Amino acid sequence: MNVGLIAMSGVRVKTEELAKLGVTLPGFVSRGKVVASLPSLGLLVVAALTPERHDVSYIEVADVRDVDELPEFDLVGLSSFTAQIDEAYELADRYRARGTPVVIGGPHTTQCPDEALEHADAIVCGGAEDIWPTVVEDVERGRLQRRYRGPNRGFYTRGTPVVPRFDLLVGRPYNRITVQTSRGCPLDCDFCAASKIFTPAFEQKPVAAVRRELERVIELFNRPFIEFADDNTFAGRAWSREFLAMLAPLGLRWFTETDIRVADDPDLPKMLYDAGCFQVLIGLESPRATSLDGIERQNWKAKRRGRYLEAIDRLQSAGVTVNGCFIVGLDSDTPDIFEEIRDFVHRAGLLEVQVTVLTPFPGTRLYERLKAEGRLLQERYWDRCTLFDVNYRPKHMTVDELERGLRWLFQELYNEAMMNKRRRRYVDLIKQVEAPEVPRS
Amino acid sequence: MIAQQSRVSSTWTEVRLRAIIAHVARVSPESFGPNDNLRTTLSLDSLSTLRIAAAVEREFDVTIPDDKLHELSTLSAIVRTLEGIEPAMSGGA
Repeated sequence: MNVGLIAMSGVRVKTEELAKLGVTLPGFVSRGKVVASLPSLGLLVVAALTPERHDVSYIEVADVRDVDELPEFDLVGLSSFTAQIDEAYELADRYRARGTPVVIGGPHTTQCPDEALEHADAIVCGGAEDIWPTVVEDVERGRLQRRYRGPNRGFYTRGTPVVPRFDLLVGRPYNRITVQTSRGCPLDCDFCAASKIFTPAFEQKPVAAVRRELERVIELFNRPFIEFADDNTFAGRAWSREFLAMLAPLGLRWFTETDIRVADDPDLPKMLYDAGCFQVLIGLESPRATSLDGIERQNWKAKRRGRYLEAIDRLQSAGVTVNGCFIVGLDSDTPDIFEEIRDFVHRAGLLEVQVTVLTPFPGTRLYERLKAEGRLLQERYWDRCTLFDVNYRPKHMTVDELERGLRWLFQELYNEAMMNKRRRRYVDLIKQVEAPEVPRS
Repeated sequence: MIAQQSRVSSTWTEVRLRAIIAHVARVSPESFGPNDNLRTTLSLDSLSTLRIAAAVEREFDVTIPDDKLHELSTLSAIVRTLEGIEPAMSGGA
């Protein structure tokens, strides 16, 4: 069979004014562009799970969005986050109209299976491991079932993890290659849609397995920049040290997401730098204690807030930039939160900042709570789950105040003077960190 | 004679810059031309170009104006930027 796997990339902000603002803000645009241009690691895993006797093609939705004649396949697999799900459904409908079986999986399908079934011959909830070969075989034998459920734990204890089919990306203009080292997150933030959907546990891939994937990437690409597609890479101290020791000699440059405990181990910041880490993205969420209170079952982030500044300084002084992430519109946020975030960013000397709007993704505790409280603005707003569009009524401000505050904060943080200041700070830090070792010619 | 001295200095600067860029980007010094965009030709991200800026400042004992830091897109552009702050360059030779 000829199997077509189609990646749904490219989140676009819906609120017109924010979209206009976005194209003029370098910080916002650069991270947005990066996210939009990341390959779909999930589909590369699906490709690797497809029995070798089948041909597999990996394409981006942009390749087929506007074409009259869709590429022909015997089976189409789609995976999508919430924001792009409607476009995935449109594409699925087009393929099904011409008789091609379509299977949809991914985070949104796992949360809204009945909705996805209206546009698919079959759906896969949970991970693709174990179950995808069965799906393919069922298509081959003409006995495709409607629902399949993959595993939601034990991803790395059920045998050696497959190496994603990175070879399918060769020749395509990705500036970053994604590699995953863990599933889930030990924290349980009520707004988080990413980690808990696939596993209630936190599982880290054996370092040797990560190494095998990285070696494959190095074999295929010239000087690849790696984006570790994790929710919380450095949540385990012993694993972190083993992982960084493995990475250092590979000479890679990379980015990842983690939490503030990465700075707890006094040796880790330097190990990060030496291993090629350019940036860690950390969900600080808010500088305000009351806003952090209750967002996570154990109140871990609220308890850590007092150590934010020290941790950021420890990381950045080692040459690792911190991309501090803040969420606006949390239940304790009042209209002065925007100034408070700006002041914190200045005080912390953060070298990169990301500000997003609280977003009730389906399946999260936040979604259930806001729905129960009658605070969702629409019943169905999936294409507005962009992290920059407001989809609910904030508790202590109006929707308009939240939108205006966000725009104001963008302008405060991403204006040219602030960008230049951050560039200068980084250059000065690197001059302190790096020994002069440029070879004399 | 002045022109010749300038030529020698410029060549030396370019050689040193080429070595710095190659070192930061982990490529061979011959792998890019003077007008090649460093970000696209060498797959460098914005932080890597700032690391080049840091190495240039250290090597030539200069301070690149903050508003020029994101303009160091080619070897030639870095040379031009250095020429604009020439007085501080004497220590580098």
